[in-house]
Amino acid sequence: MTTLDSSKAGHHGDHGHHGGSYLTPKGGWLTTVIDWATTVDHKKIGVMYLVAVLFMFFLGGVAALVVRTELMTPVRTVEVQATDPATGKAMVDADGKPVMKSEIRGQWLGEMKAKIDGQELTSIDGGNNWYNRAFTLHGAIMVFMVIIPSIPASLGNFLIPLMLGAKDVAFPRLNLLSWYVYVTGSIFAVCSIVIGGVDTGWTFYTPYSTTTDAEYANVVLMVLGAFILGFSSILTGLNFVVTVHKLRAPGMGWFDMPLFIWAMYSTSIIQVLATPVIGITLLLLIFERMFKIGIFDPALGGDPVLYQHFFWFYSHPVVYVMILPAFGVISEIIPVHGHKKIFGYRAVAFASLGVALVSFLVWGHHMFASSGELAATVFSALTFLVAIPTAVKVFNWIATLYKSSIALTTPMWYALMFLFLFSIGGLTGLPLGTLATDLHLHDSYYVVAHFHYVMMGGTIITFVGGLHHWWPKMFGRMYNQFWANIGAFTVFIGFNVTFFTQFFLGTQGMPRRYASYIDDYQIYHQISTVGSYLLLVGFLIHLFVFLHSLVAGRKAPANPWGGLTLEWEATSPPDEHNFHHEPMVKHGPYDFETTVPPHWDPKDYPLPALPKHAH
Amino acid sequence: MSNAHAPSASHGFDELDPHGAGKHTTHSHHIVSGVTLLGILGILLMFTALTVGLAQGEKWVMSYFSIELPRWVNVAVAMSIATVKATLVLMYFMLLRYSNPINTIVFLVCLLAFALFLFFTGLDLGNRGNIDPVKATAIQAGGVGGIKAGWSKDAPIIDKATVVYWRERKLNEVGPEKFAKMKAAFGHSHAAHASHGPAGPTGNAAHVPAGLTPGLFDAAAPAAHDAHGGSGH
Amino acid sequence: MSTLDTRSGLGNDVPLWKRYVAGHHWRNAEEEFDACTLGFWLFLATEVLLFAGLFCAYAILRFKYPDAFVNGSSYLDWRWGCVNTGVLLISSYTMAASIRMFQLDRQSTGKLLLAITFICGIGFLFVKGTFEYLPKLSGWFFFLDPALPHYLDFKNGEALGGLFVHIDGYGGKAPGQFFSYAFSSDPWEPLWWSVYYCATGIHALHVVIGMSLIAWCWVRARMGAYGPTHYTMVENTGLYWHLVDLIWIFLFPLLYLIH
Repeated sequence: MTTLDSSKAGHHGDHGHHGGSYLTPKGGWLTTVIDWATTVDHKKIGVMYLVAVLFMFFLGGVAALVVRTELMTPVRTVEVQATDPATGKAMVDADGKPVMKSEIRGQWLGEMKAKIDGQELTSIDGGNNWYNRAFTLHGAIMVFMVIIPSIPASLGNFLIPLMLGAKDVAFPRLNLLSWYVYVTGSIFAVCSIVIGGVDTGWTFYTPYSTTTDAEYANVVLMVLGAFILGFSSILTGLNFVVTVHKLRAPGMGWFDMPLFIWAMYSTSIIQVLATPVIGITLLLLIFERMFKIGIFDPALGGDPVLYQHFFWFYSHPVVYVMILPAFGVISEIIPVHGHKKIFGYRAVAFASLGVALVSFLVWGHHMFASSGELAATVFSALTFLVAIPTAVKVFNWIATLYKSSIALTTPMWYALMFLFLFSIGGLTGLPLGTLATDLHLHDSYYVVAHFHYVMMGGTIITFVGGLHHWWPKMFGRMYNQFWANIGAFTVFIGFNVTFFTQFFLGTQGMPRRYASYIDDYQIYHQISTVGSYLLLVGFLIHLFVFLHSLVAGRKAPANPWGGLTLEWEATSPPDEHNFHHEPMVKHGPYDFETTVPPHWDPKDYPLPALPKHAH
Repeated sequence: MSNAHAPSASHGFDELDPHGAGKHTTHSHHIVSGVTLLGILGILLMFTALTVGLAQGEKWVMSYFSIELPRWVNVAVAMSIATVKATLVLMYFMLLRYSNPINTIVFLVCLLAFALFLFFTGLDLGNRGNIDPVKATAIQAGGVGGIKAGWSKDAPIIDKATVVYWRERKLNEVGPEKFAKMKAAFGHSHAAHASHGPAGPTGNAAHVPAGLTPGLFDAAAPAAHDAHGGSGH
Repeated sequence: MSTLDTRSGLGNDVPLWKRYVAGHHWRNAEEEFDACTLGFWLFLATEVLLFAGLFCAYAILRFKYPDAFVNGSSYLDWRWGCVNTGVLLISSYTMAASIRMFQLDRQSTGKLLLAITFICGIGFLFVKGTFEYLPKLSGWFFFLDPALPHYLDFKNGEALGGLFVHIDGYGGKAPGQFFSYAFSSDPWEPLWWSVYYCATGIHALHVVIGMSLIAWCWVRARMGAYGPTHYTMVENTGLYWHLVDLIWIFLFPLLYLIH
């Protein structure tokens, strides 16, 4: 055998006798709850993040369905003949002419409001305001509370120390603090929804965010929530950077690290460098809203475009905080489930750092319609730089797949879907980076479709795929692959039905964030809405598969897929302190040609070709 | 339980660590000598005096010779000195000179991000036009009002530039005579500035650093460009 | 980060710092110290970038309205700015010297220097609040304010038995909407005050946080927590305090010395 000291401890997963896995309850339910609430164990914190993020994903998803349902029908004010409430007959006046009244048709959200307030709606605005709140809610939750922490905080927390062969992250208590900060920020944001919602859009652009709604508590609460979430993000990122620098196992140099670690390292650098700017931006926004300090208000000499620069200096790099971890997950799934060494390890690793660097140079492409010509030209030129490192990655993954022995497991299906969806997302970004075409497509459904292909098709799809990849490690149970695959296909089809139609809507001129539209668009909107229901079905299937796995799943072996990175050396689920002895790294993370995977059992997965000198 | 782990792992581990991941950094515990610290403090205080002296000197030069130095001179001088001071603090008080180079790299990368932020934002906003002549009727220097006059809930909405509103209010309250007296007392020592100087040769002061839209504010409030008298503090 | 426990097995008569054992996931205390320092530098980077927003707003708005900034700045007295710069520089020195004392195990001098640093922080905030914020915002002067005699003609009230004197028309130099000063010479001056109060206010908040950290260090130092082999907390508090100083080194000329 080639590998670690820790493999001496036993075989095939079942070493419960060694102090027990991290999931083993410490006592009664109260003791267990207190133990989890005060734990500094990165694995438990990762699981707590997972639960919190999935809950917020549910909330954001509900908001998305509300938005899509509202868009099933265009909102119209039509003249109809009034009916006499007493007789139920159509009303006519003295001359025998029909009495007309205006009625709002197709306003689903307006009806909802009427039911809540117990009164009839008289204007179209009520429903429109609800619509604005619903899409703001969807955007803010999905960006700040789901996608940003999804892979880094849940999978990252769980896996980084394991992959590095460490006992924990560098600052375990800071790690717990960052989870509490995340929950606090989320509570602030949810409170702002409960007391009436925010209708500024998730970007909080001034002057929407400084002038809309007479009562300013909602916006301030939501912005404060985002501000607090930023701290959580900073603490997590800082922790990961130090962990990668200082806690690598003996023998693990920088280029012996798994590519997931490289991606997380780049992500963390962006988080540390970009998040403080959104901190000061949101702080100034709160001052602006509460005290009218005027820095973003032209009435006092300020500049709303300054706000946009401030905002996008953070929020563009943060787009890569969302997608880079997904790159990392894909770089793990493809070699492991194809049992082949990754093609161009260093290229993929440096591409992660390259993306991190370029991410700070291109924020202006969110503002082509509002910024000056010179800056727009420069930003447009720089934007195309992003294509280089991302294309390097995609080509390397495809080259890795070439002639590998692909096992069509659920994680692998997700990785293949990612390649398809992310390529569409990336390529449709090119017309948006080009000034001339962007001015046509700006703020249209084309943009909506583009960033959903990247954010959801890229990050969320990969998050779910990664969850399937590491689920056996995290919870020590296998899941039903058949139903998981069914769920994956449903999500894939639902996603494309929902968002591919939106490219057509956008190029034909449907603007984003509108509650209504001309009749010609209705068929596209209806297809898109049906697709979103399909997405819901797909995610529900996954939920049931996971719940079933937790209750009745087969016990997972330590290394169900044949991975070579250090987390597969640990038991499933890992022990309280991860490894029995500090692991010593003696092979690369993807040396499938020369290494027998730890805890290998032919029952779990057949090896495509046994390494020549391993047996 | 972990007592046993830490010491045992720390021995004989460097040779298995060819990349220096666990290299001991003994230099991180450098103790700076007391003389160095005091010396650095002295230099920092000296530079503070220098930057104030240069700023005052520049003011004096401009008023004495009635010349207008470009605005960037003031900024460039002050920022150069501040950078030197900051470097000293970073190197000796914050021990960057003696600690692990990675800390310096972290700080430099952060400054790089800062520079990018400033550069690109400036590139855009620095090139935005002043008030477009087409819109000059709709936009006024100093704002068009529309904000409340102060904290209280029933405060009136200001219907003109904020500064003008408050000036007129005070004028009504105390009358022009007292207003002039107060203005003289509170007016800052800025009068020495060549471009605003009420007296003296004006030949070199042709470049009046006007506001955003020259003349617009004068029309709104003639009192704005009265002689700046006053004793200052 | 800096857990103190009794895992070392040494008795209670040994000072706390000698009994310190690194966290269980570290190979040794040296590694832990290095990691804490690196982590803290990353945190300092976030602090610098937090202020970057303010500096950026300053740069853009000053570029747009140079006269408003020059006029606004001339209401500030550079002498107070100078005093505060000196106070912060001296406190930075005492902080650095205090770390040196703990490295040399000269406990009482170390604690004394920590206390002096704390007092300097109070001095800074006192000058800022009493001689700068208060009169400019409200027109209330502290009776010892050297500028007060110039304005006594317009005195219209006293408070706290003459401790504070109100000068009619002096106050109102407040940010944005709350600006109500009647004698300004530039239409955009409210904006200058916004930048001034945001920048110095957030800096003052950092001074307060730094002082809290120093106070905490002092309390721990009294318990004997810091010594030659373990002084991570003092070291990082020092770094934080120096950063506060560093920001002020740039704020001082940008706010007080422009013309």
